[in-house]
Amino acid sequence: MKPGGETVVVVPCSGIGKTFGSVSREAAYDLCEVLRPGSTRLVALAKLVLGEPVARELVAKHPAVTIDGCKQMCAAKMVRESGGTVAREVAVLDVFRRHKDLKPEGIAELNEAGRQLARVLAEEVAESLEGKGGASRG
Amino acid sequence: MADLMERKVGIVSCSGEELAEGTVARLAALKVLNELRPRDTVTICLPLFLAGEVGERRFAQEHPTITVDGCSKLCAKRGTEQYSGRVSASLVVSDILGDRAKGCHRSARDADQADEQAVWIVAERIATEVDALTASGALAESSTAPSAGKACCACGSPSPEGKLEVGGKAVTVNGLPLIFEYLERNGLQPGNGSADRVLETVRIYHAIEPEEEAGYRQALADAYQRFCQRQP
Amino acid sequence: MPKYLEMTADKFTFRVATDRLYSPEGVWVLPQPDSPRVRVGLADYLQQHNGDVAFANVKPVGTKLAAGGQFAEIETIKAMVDLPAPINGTIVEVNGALNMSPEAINQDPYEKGWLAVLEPAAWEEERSKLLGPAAYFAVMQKQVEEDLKGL
Repeated sequence: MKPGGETVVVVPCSGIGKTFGSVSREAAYDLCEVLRPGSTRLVALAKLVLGEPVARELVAKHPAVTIDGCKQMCAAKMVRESGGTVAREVAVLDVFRRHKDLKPEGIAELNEAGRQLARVLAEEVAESLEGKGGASRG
Repeated sequence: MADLMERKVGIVSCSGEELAEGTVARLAALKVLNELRPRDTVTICLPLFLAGEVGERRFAQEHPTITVDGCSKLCAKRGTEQYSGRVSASLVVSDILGDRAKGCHRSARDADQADEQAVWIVAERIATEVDALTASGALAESSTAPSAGKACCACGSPSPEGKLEVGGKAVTVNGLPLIFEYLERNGLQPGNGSADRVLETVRIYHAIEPEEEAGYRQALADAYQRFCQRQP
Repeated sequence: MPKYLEMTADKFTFRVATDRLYSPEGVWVLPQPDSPRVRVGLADYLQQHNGDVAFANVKPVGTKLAAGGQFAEIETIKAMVDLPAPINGTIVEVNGALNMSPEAINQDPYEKGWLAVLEPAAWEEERSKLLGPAAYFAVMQKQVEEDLKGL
């Protein structure tokens, strides 16, 4: 990930079928609205895939962080297929494995542990946006 | 292959993260699934669907679908049409809510009563559309009847298609032989008076524009006649 | 690549590989070619029912198993699931790849998601207690119907 100053596009999967999909969405909001509002842009995955010009341009110009709720990795896969560069792909499941105590529950309404997991994920990504490494997975 | 007549309605929500309306769409779809119409609906995961997941796409092809979009970009509708065919109903949150959407939030962390009310309003609308699709009785009467199919080889064969000529154009209606089987099994005789019933049943699974209705009615009536006269 | 029996409920398709046997609990047993040993893993319905696997812990090599006793534990977002041994025998190999990639159980339950290799105590006797694919399919079908009724 390049040092601060460059905009990073954040693309969560927001999968509706699993609690991890809700975690991916809330993590993206934490990252873009609270932790790094000046250096991140949230892009809706469906808009990108369906060819919306602004979404496509953003992904073409800026490195992307994808946040996927499951190992199907839809966001990472489709950002690449749309011509984007995935600087970091995050699987919520992998973050959960490092923080077993934060077991998320609920899809429409995340429990407190789920919200905390989202925040932890967002903080990990935010830290990596400070130039601590290149393209990575986590 | 799923038994045609034990069907549910698929709800495809856009979940667009950039707008509060996308969050409302997502939550309203989940409210319908979990609370309002749990036995009649299935949600289709749009990311999986767009990424090519076979189960999601096949379900959308074989079942009536309602798309719920946050805004006029209509990602859920366009995506569903692109990969699975025309949708049975398309709802747009920004149209349903109007100015009420201004009080809504993207993130659950900020959600308040305005968000809750907005979700209810949209969810009720979705439920109304679900009810309209089930009104003809073509969906399962017994909501406890499982939609499990029989064992079959995993050849991945698609639903049987029916090909018609409507207004001089070749048209494919997915699942048409199964629809005909259902109608025949339920005693519908071809001929006078059956055309409307055939049309209304097909309409649940295959969108028909008003200007095409007369052409479809005739083509379907003829096709149903031929179907009922087939040799065993 | 095995062939499959399959059934679809709503948008979910459940597959039963036809080249192996099954315990009623949904653990598959695949005899290894030219070997008295068997490989075991989770049937497709069982992995879908339990959800995304976060951790898979199989008892270590050398563990003697009694049929029905726990031989592995998987932790998913939904639950901790004890997996009962399908036969009497001894664990002779464990799928180490599951430490880093437990999702293989979900993504490829009949191939890469295998859990362990067992040495049966007495194979001819053990195999008679297992279900063929069609019989297991019927068991699975009932389980799916119960799930749907529970909606």
